[in-house]
Amino acid sequence: MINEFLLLLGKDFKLEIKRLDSFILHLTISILLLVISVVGINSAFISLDITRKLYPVFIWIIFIFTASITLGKSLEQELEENAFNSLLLFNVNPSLIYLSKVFVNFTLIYFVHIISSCLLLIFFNINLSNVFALYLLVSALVVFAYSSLSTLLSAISSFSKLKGLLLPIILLPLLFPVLFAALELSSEIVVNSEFDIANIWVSLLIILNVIYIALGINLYEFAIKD
Amino acid sequence: MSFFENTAIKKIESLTFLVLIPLLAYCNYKIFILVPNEKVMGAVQRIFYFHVASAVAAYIAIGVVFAASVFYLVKKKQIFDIINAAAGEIGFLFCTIVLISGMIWGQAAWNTWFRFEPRLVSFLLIWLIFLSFNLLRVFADEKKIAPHIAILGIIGAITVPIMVYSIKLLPNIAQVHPEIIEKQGLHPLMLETLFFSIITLVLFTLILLYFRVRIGILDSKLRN
Repeated sequence: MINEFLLLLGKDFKLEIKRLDSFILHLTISILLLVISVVGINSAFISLDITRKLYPVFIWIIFIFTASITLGKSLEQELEENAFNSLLLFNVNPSLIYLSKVFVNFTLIYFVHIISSCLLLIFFNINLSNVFALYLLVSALVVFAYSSLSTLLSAISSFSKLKGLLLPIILLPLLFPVLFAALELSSEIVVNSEFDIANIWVSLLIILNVIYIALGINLYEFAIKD
Repeated sequence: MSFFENTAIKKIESLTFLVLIPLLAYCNYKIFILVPNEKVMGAVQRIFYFHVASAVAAYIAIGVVFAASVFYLVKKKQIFDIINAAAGEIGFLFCTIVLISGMIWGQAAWNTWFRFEPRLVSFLLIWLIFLSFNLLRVFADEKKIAPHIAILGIIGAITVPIMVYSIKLLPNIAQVHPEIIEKQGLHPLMLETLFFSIITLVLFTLILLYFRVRIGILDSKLRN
């Protein structure tokens, strides 16, 4: 089972590296939105203290917007080439297909999120050097919850008439608990430069990650099978 | 499917209408005539009976969506998809009523249409979940519509309690109502009317659900 999973993971990574279009699309839209945010902040003559408070809002809006566009397109090529049916014909476990997709999507969007976060910190002139590791940890929990839920729902949206456009419509209303946790935890790190690992929001994020992964493993089969 | 053509069932349907119509009329009589005015908010507080009862009806719809979705994925029977569609539409309707009545009540009580208040925000987000659930039925792939809707139904129903809990954790959010009313204590007649309105509206919801399922079955017969 582990070998099968590693093979699928290798295949998905190779496919993403070969294509690179999702990565380039995600990064370009992120940079565009970052520049728009910075222009907006500069034109409002906002003080550094308020800019620090606004940082989590901007970074998570940019993340959610760009990631939904990127992940909405992630399964389209597989569906066009009928790759899912071929995998299922070879009796590959759908849960493993799901897990492999989650890890690949997580790696892709987490990498772009780190780049965007660093760029926005530079543009907003915020120094986070002493708590940056904690920020990365919180981001990893948020991005993983996002990837596990969006991978399941992107399978639904890719089959629809609207394709990737439907993903934000069905995903975002369900994502609010994750978004609340992301905003609260990043505010604590960026504004107060301190962080308690026993925070209730961290527990909530861990629980959400477990629930989303469990749902994905059990329901992915119904989303892709005919 | 021949269940609905049974004469005994048709008699029960007629009887239900005979019971429900006087029940709704008496409920309105209690709300608008019998119950005294609330001391602080006055007559506008009467919206509370519709508001709370609709919220209970919306929560029941969420429960039905969850059960129908699980049963559909396990049993693969079309009837559960029809129930799912019916509960999704009815849930959306009652969520809209909760939001609109809450905003009218808010305008009268706090002089603002919308406030970042836990219950109002919770219902706005639940309304969005129901909206996406109903939109998926419009745009989903016709061959996979039922399992896809069932998946979204399960995730949505599981997300609702987590979302309600997470909103209460937010630091800049204050519970304004109806805890204040509960703490001050309700007049016995107000409490009795509240329970009566909840029971009446729950019964009304179940009847709406029953007839929407019936329409759904006829619709699927026509399509086939």
